[in-house]
Parts: sequence; structure tokens; C-alpha cells
Amino acid sequence: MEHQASAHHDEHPPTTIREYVIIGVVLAVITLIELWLSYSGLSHGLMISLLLIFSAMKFIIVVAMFMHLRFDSRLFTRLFIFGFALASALLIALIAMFNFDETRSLFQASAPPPAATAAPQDGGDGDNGEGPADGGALLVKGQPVAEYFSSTCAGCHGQNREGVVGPALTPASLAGDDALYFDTIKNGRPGTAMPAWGATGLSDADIDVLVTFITTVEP
Amino acid sequence: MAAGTHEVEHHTSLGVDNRKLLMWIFLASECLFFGTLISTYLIFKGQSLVGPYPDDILDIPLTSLSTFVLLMSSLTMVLAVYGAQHGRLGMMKAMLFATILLGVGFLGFQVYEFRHFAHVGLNLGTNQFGASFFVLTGFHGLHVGIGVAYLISLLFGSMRRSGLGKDRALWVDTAGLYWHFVDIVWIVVFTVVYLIPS
Repeated sequence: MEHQASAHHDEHPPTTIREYVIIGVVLAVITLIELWLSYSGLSHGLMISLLLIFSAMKFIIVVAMFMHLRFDSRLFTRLFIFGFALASALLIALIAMFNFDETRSLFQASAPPPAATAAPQDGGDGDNGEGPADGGALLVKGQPVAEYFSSTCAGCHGQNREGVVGPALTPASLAGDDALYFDTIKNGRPGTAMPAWGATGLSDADIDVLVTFITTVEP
Repeated sequence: MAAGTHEVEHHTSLGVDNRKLLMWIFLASECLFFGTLISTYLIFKGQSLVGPYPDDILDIPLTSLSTFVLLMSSLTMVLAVYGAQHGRLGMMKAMLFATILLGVGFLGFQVYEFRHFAHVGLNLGTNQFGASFFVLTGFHGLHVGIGVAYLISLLFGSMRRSGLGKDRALWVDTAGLYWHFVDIVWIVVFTVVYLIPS
């Protein structure tokens, strides 16, 4: 028995039961602090930074002490860090890619549009000059219709209305009756991803503007 | 003479046990698996066109409780490993059993949460948030479920054929690695999905 105990001496970490329990309590306390933080009303940036720091602490404590990496072969540490670093790089790359997408539509759905920057582009669209079909002059919820489309519809229908998840919405592709398009925008299309915009506060007048826009203005 | 006492310690060129190495390689690849799901969640959560939205529906206090349960299961797991490594079989079995119970408890919270969300109208197909949320937390739950089965098999193994002795502590150790990994994934998911406001 003693022989085995000494033979295995190097195989298990030196941590005692008492230390493990203390580590468990520390993890629980950090979780409590995180819970408090999420209700603390601190500024957004500060709160997120603190939350990330605290969860990183928990992560490292568990990996180092409970998974014994602190005492185990360095090979395991390197392997795990390699996988973790790849995953982190993937996360950063994906988020950056979607955040800085030039169309900007994916992240702008609910945020107010950046006031000055979007305007010239819409002016350019409107210069086709088709009287009432001038995309720059028509407003949906107080925004130029092209801008509204870009921030709300383009996620599914494409920035140039070429169709992505949803169908293309250009004068050439829309040969049906305006009433059909009005109904689709207002009530959605059951069984598809098209929501009922009438239920989300889009007025009939706004929908009329959108129908005019997609059926008469070339992208 | 050494052969009898060290049946488990095969000599390997890397100087580490192959099973443990395999588990660490697997866990490194799992980082990428969950990294992808978490990225997808972060990208999709703000893109829902219809509700319910994350802020309407996520129950932070309840999930804190289930997070606590999973954290404590990590503590009992490490104590089970301790028991196995120090030849304290009774402690190992009790702690394995406690870990299984806590794991099942965590799954219970998740089942409740999923049912509640379905009841208020959020499911996999409702919106982008629902799709990415259920895929992420569902796969995590699946990992917990597999972990529970893994631990149950260890517990039964330790009861048969005169037990999982000290020489077989590595089996418990390896299972522990998997279990703790599932816990640290939840540490990240809890912060990213629940605590950080959208």
C-alpha cells in the first residue's frame, strides 16, 4: 500500500480536499458577483468588461485547478491553449466579418441609422428622378425609404434587392398586383420568414410607400 | 514486480497516458465546436425580426441557480477524482453519485427552461435568436447528458469486478476532464448569453 502511495505521488496534484472546497466556494462567490453585476446598472462597457474578466477567472481556475493543468504535463496545456486560441480567433473573425460588413444591414435592424453618413448614398438612388417614385423623397417611419429598406428588409432581401433568403424585390421581378405586395408586407407570409410588419407598427401609409418603392424604383 | 502494481502505466514516447492525451485533443477540438456555436449566437441574436427577444425571455436568476448547480458538480467531480487517486473508493463513489445528481439537476433546469420558452412562443424556428439559442444551449445540454451517461458507466464499473481502484484512477480523471470542460463551456455561455445585455 505504501509502495503504491509513493509510486503514485507524482501522479496526482497536491491539492487537498479543503483546498478544493475553498476553490468551489470561490467559484460560487464569483458567480454571485457576476449576477450582481448584471443587475448593477453600471455602464454597458464597464459591465461587459467586468463580466468577461470574472468569467475568464472562473474559466482559468477550473482549467488550472480542477482539470489539474497547473500540475500536469505541459503538453496538455499547449494542446488546450491551441484549441482555445483557434476558437477565439474564429469567434473574433466571424464577429468582425459580420460587424463590419459593408452593407451594415445585419447589425442595424433595430439601431437608429447613423445620421449623416447614409444620406449621400440615398440621394444618389433618388436621382433617377421618377417623380413620386423618387426613393429619397419618400419616407417610412420618418426615414428615407431606401434607408429604411437597407436597415430593415435588406437582411433577407439583399442590399440591392436581389433576393437572399427572401425573394428579389425589384420592378422587374415584381409583376403582380400592388395589393398582393401590400398584403404580404402588412400581414406577412405564413410559413415563411416574412413577418407581419403591420403588427410591428408599420402604418398602411408606410407600407404604400414601400410597395411603390419596390415596384417602381430600380435598385 | 512492477508489472503487477502498474498495469495501467504503459510507457509512451510522449510520457503521458494515451487516454488522457486523447481526451485533451478531443477537448481542444470541442473548443472549436462551441466557439462556432457561440459566434453564431452572437451574430444572430440581434437580428430577429419578430419576438420574443433575449431580454424578454431569459431568466437570469433561475439560470444563475442552474449555473451554481453545474459549478458544484465540478467540485464533486474533482473530489471523486481525488478519491480515486488516493484510493478512497467510498468517497469516489459518493462523489460520482453526487455529480450525476447535480448533472441531472442541471438538465432538469434546462428542460424546464426549454419548455417554458416553447410555451411563450420561442422555438427553434421562431426567429434568429431562437434558432441560435436552442442550437447552442441544446448542444451543451447534450454534452451534459453524455457526461451523465459517462459517469453512470464509471459508477457501475466501480461497483463491479472489485471496483475502480487506484490504478484505474485515470479513467475517473479522464471523465473528470470531460465534465469540467462542459462546465467551463457553460461558464462562457452563461456570461455571453445570459449576463451580457443585448
